[in-house]
Amino acid sequence: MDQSATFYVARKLCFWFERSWLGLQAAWPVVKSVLGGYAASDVAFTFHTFPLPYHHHAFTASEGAHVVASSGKPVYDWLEAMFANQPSFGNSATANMTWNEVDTLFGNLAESTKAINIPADQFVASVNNPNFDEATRVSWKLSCARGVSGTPTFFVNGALSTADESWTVAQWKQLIDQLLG
Amino acid sequence: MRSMLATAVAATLLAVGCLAQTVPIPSRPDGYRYPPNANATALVQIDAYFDLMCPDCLVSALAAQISANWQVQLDDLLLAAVDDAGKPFGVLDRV
Repeated sequence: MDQSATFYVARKLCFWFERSWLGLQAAWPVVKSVLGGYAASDVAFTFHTFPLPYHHHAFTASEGAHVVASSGKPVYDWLEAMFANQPSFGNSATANMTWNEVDTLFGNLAESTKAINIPADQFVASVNNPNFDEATRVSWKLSCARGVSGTPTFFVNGALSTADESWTVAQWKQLIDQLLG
Repeated sequence: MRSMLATAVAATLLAVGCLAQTVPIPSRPDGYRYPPNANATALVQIDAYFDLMCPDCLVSALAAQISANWQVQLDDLLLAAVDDAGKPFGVLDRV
């Protein structure tokens, strides 16, 4: 990658993030990197979606995970596709779109994400299905009942952890290694 | 009499409060395991709550760039984040 391309990409990402420094402290790539270093028998990780109300389309994004999982498709492909395309679904980006237009955008993402490949119309019908809506609400209520009010929030062996998006790979490894003894 | 009334009101409020805290039992345990073969008896169990629209949570090329274990590559004019094995997991943008 030449320097000008790097600069262009960085500038574009800064525009996306509105508060660009947030982009430097993203939790999932760090956590995923940490998990790659441990055996599945030592460390287990569960990703819960918790849509925050001030991100207007977060509930549909979360509902999409329920739809994908129930179709037997790899749900992590949806989670990562959502992260990768997050700017397109942001409040600013969708300010002049109707709710149905945004639903179609979600459908297109489900159809174009290789391992998911659910037809857009079918995906949109599913996110408007009351059963998936209810399942997503139940997930949200469970998170609330555990005291979650922001993201990312981490529990380690059931206890609320001080880990947040600023944690580095080294901090995670220190915590896990201590527990593994 | 007044204290009895206060006690009754308090008990009612407590009962209503408890009812309001009831969460429907989901049809299966919540969340998505990673890796999919994650062991239920593993010594360390991490539960993460992520908002897919939250910038703090997202997969970002910048986070990838600053982490020693991650890299960003330009591949056929597609910007993709890749994991340690070089496997792309998300196209971020066309440049």
